[in-house]
Amino acid sequence: MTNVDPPESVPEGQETKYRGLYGKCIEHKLEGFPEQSKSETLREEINVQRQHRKLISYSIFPFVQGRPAGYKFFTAEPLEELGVPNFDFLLWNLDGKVIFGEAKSSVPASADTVVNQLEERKEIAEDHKEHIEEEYLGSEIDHMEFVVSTYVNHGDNIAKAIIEEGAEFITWVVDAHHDELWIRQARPTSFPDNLEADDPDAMLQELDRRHTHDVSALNGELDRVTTSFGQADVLPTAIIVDQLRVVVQARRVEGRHPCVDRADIESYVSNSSLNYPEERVTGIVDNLIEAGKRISFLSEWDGERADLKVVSNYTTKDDLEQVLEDKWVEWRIEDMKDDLRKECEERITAELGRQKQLSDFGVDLSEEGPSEKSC
Amino acid sequence: MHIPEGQYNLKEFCRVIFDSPERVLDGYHGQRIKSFLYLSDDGWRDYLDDHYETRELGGITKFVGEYRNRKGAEQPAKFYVGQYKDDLQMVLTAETEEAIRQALRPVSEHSDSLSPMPIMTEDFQTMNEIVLSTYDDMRISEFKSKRVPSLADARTRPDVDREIEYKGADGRDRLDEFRDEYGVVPTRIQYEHENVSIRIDTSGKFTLESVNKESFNILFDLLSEVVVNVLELLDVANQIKFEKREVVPGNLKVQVPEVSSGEIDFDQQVSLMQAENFIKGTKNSDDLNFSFTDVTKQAGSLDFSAQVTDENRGSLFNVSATEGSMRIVPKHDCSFPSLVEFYLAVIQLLDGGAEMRLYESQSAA
Repeated sequence: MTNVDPPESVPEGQETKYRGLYGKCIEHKLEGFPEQSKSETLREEINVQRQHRKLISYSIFPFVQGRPAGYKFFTAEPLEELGVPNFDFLLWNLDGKVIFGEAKSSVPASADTVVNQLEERKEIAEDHKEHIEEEYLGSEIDHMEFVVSTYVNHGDNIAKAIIEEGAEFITWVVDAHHDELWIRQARPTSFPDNLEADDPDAMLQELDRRHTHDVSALNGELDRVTTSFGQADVLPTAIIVDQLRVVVQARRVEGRHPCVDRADIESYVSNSSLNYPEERVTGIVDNLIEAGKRISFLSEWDGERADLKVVSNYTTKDDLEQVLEDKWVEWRIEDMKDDLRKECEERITAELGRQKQLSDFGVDLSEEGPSEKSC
Repeated sequence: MHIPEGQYNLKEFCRVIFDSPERVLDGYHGQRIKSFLYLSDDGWRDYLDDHYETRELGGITKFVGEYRNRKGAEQPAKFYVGQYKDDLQMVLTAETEEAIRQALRPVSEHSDSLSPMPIMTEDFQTMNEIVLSTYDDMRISEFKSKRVPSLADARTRPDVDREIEYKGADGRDRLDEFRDEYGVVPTRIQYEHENVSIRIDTSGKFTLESVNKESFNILFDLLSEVVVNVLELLDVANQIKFEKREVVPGNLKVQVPEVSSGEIDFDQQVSLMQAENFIKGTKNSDDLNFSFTDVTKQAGSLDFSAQVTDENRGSLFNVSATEGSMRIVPKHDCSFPSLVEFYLAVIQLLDGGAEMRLYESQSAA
C-alpha cells in the first residue's frame, strides 16, 4: 500500500483501492526506470555544456588577451535579452566591423542541420543590426562577418557542409590539446549552386572569399594562434547547473558553513561578464538564486551571517561543485519520476472512474483491479 | 631570541646574533636560527600591525605572535623582520617548527602583499656550486633530489619522473652519482663543516644550525645569487592581471577587456597522470590551499583546463595546459602571492625545471 493522497476525482469509498492500485503501478514503473543510465546521460549533458562553454572561451581568448586586426571580444550571447536565437559571442574592432560567432562543441554527421541553424541566426542578427548599433555599440556597423567555431575534429565536416550549402560562414577550429586556433578551409566535393562565377578558378576564388575574413590581416593573425581557456563563464542560455557554477565560485565560508550573499553572486557575474547592462546582471542573479533553491543547493539563511546558505557539509569549491552536480542530477531524476507518478495517478483515476460508471450501470465487477500491464 | 634594545639594520642585526649566540638563543630548543625570505608589496606591514604585537628596532621590526605548544599552553613566538632589498623581506627566528607553523605562516597565508620566496631549481644548483667551491671539504649529510631533465641527463630510464631522499656521510659523492645515473638534482641540502652546519631548500627557507659569522656569510652570499631571478619572477607575477577598460568609441560607454596572462613553460612533457597528481598534491599539502574546479582533462597530447582558486586569498585564475606549457589567465583578485605560490607548487610538485613568464600570443605558423 502506498501512502498517497488520492486525487479528488477518485470516487468516495475507493481511496483504499486507489492506493493499492497506484502502489502497484508506481512500483512497476520505478522498477523499470533506468535510473543509472538516465543519470549518466545527465552527467554527460553537464560535460557537453562545459565543452561548449570552454570552446567559447578558447575562441575569444585571442581577442581578450590581444587585438587581432583590431578586434576585441565585446560580449557573450548578444541579443539573448530579446529571447531570439542568438550567437555565442560578438567581436568588434571598435570601428564599424563586427564578427558574430557560434561555438559548436560537436557537429552531427549531417552537418547541414547546423548550417541551417546558423543561417537562421545570421538572419536574425542581420535583422537586429540596428539594435546592436544602438543598444550595444553606440556606433554604426559597416561590416558583419559570421564565424562558426568548433573543436578540430569537427572542423572539416562543418566547413565542408558550409561550402556545399552555399552558406557564408568562416570556420575556426580549436585544438585544445595544443591550445591553438586557426581558420579551417575545406575542399568541397561539389560546388554550391549559388556561385556567381563560372570559371573554376574564379569559383574557387569566390569560395576563398566566402570562407576567410575580408580583413586579410585577421586571416594572418589567426593562423594557428595560441589560445587558452580564459574568460566568459556566464552564459545566460546555458543549462542551469552550468550557470550555478557561479555560486560555487562566489561562495565564502562563515564558521564551517559555505554561504553566499546576493551581492557576492552579483559581483562575480558582473566581473565575469562583459558589457552586460545592470538589469541583465540582476536578471541572471535572480534566476541563479531561484534555481539554486529549486534544486536544494541554496536555501535562505536565518541570521545575519549571509543571505543564503549553500546546502552542503563541504566547504571547498571542488567538493561543492560535485555537490551541485549531484543535486541537479537528483532533481532531474526526481522530476522524471514525478512524471511517472503523474502517469500512474491519471491511469488509476481513469480506471476507477470507468469501473464506477460500469457499476452504476449494474455491471458486475470482479475484485481484481486493472492488470499491471495497463500501467 | 633575546635581542638587546637598539636600532639595527639587517646586517647589524645579524651581527648581534652571531656575536653572542649563547645569549641570544638562551633557552631556545635546538639553538638554531631559521631565516625565511618573503616577496613583498606595499601594505605588507599593515598585516603585522593588525595581528601581532610589533616593535620597531630601527630597520628591524620585532613581531610577537602566540602559539599553543605541545602541552596545550599558549606561548609567545618572537620573529624579526628586516628588508633585504626592495620587495624582499627576511624573517629571522629561533622558534620551533610548531611555533612557526602556527604563528608565522599566517603572515603570508592570507596576505595579498606577501608571499614566500621560491628559489628556482636552476638557481638552487648555482647556490650549491657556490657552497661547494667555497669549501672543498664541505660535507653533505642529507639531501633531496628531483628529476629535472633540463638540468641533468640520466643514464637509467631518463623518462621516469623521480625523487630521491638520501641521508649518509657520503652525501656529497652520492649527490653527483645520483645526478649522473638518474638525472636528479637537489632541491634540499644539509651541509656540514667544521664551523658550518646549514640547511637550504627551494622554498626559500635557510636553517643555520651553526650560528656564527661564517653561516651568515654563506646565507647572504647565496641570497645575492638568487635575488635577481626572484625579483624578476615577482615582476612577472605583478604584471599578470585582468581589467576592463571603459571607452567611448561611439555614443555609448563600453568595456574592453585587457588581459595580461602568464605562462609556465614546462621543462619536460607533462602527462595527464602528472597533472592529476599535481592537483592531488596541492590538495594534500599543508602549505598550499588551491582548489581546482571546472576541470577538463584528456590524455594523449595533454588537454587540461580548470578554474583555480587560492582558497587562502580568494584569488581566481584559469589555467589551460598542454604537454609543453600552461597558460594562467587571471580572473578575480589575482594577487602576486597566489601566482608565486602556484608557481612554487608547479616547481615542487609537477616540474622542477618549469619557468614562468608573461604570455605573448603568437602565431605558431
